[in-house]
Amino acid sequence: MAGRLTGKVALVTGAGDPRSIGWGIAVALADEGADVIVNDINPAGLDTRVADLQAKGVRGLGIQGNIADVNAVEAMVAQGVAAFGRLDVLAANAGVIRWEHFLDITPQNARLVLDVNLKGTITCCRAAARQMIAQGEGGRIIITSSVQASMHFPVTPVYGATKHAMFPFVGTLALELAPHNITVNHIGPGWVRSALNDKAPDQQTAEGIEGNRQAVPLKRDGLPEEMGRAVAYYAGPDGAYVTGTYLRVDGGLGIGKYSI
Amino acid sequence: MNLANKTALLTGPMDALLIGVGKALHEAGADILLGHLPSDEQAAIVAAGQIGARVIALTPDNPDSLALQIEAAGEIDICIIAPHSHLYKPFMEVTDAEWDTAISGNFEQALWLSQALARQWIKAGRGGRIIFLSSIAARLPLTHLSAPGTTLGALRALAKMAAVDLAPHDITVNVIELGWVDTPALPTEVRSHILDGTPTGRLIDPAEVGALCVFLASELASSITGETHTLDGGYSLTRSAGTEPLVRG
Ligand SMILES: NC(=O)c1ccc[n+]([C@@H]2O[C@H](COP(=O)([O-])OP(=O)(O)OC[C@H]3O[C@@H](n4cnc5c(N)ncnc54)[C@H](O)[C@@H]3O)[C@@H](O)[C@H]2O)c1
Repeated sequence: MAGRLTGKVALVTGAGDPRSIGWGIAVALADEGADVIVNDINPAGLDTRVADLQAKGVRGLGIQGNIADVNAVEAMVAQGVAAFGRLDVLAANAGVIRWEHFLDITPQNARLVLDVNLKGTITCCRAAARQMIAQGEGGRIIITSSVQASMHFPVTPVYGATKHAMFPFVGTLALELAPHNITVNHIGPGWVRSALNDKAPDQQTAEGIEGNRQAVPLKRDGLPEEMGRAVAYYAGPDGAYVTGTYLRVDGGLGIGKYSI
Repeated sequence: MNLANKTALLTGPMDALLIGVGKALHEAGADILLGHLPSDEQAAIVAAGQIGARVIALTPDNPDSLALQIEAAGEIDICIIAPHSHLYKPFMEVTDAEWDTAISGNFEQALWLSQALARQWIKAGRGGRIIFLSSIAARLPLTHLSAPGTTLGALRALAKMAAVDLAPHDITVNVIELGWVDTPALPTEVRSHILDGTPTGRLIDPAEVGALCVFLASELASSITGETHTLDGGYSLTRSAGTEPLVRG
């Protein structure tokens, strides 16, 4: 059965870990028939992810690479296009987090978060957009920002800053790439129990985990595939007229907290 | 509004905006310290001469030496930080190096300078005022302003989170998002286009930015923190997005 993304090629960054949002995105896109290139800085899970994609009847390709490295990003897009012939969808998803209040921010951690979440995301968008413009058939860029784009947690100021920055970034990009029929949007996951949060200070006790859950109006964690289906919406025909928007997928966590 | 016995540290490009703000703070009674990048020393000396300020070299891209420079500068009560990058360029043409410059000059340097000051104020048991000068591009997606917009958007969020943590120490953090300021750097061919979209029908005078800074730095404003203040003559109400003033000329 042809899916809504059959014949499309998608690249998802930060998708090597089976618990990750990136993998949830890759699965959701593959379920719609897309061929999927999965990237991760950590090569460990990539072969298995590719086998899982192929088992779904789509083409899969794993590319190890650091999105904070401009040359690696250019090489990744080139390698993906060489293998699958084109690029239609970019899910710029890879990101890192560090917990340091403002007074404790260290140059080392700030550098890492800025390099990956800001610079890396920007570089991926530019490299993918260049390919999409050359193809001349439009494209879809979906960035994984965070509920932190719109509500602030002082325990993660640099992370939150990189996520909030996606509002002006996505807006400007959506305007500038609209003439090429490339849409640009971002999704804001709430709590997803991926490895990202394993070291979160408030996730170290059962009470802390439960406390986070209780703060969510729908009283549960989000699942990576739920983030993935939001991306699939933006990537598919239903999302064709939607650009420059932000979709919280957070069980209501951000309701009434648009304070940035 | 009286800033007598207060010292204000102003940093950023040594342009008409910073000089105008310095003038306003000086007229309100504050001593002015112009913090300049090592490469801006000459410009800083000239600017300081116009407003009776002292100058001090800062290396805000090196947090360790910056902390020492701040300590050596003596007592500071107010810190005003202006962004360095206003790059106007289509996103697809912004180079990697230009992104680095924007991230450093509009976000990181402001982070390290405000953090160094806050740490010192807390150690000394005194309050303080941090004001980030920014642009409406941080809130409104303006075409060809992806680099300043994105990096100043990051700064706006940082200010909110810093404000929460610093409030118990009597330190306020505010952002002023500016529209089009009347400086010699603004090309004449874009003036009329900008004025068309500005309900007040005129550009922003640096003295007006200074007046808001004086207020935010004063005792009267001690409860105002983490806020973004738009100062744009209403430009963002009419020309909110997609404006390409330099392209349309
Ligand atoms: N988990 C949450 O609750 C949550 C909430 C909001 C937003 N997010 C965002 O979702 C995105 C995905 O996060 P996640 O929860 O799946 O995290 P995760 O840590 O589980 O997965 C991220 C993956 O990205 C990879 N990665 C890290 N740095 C990289 C780099 N420089 N280049 C390439 N790959 C890199 C990691 O190896 C990892 O496999 C991130 O942008 C994150 O900020 C997560």
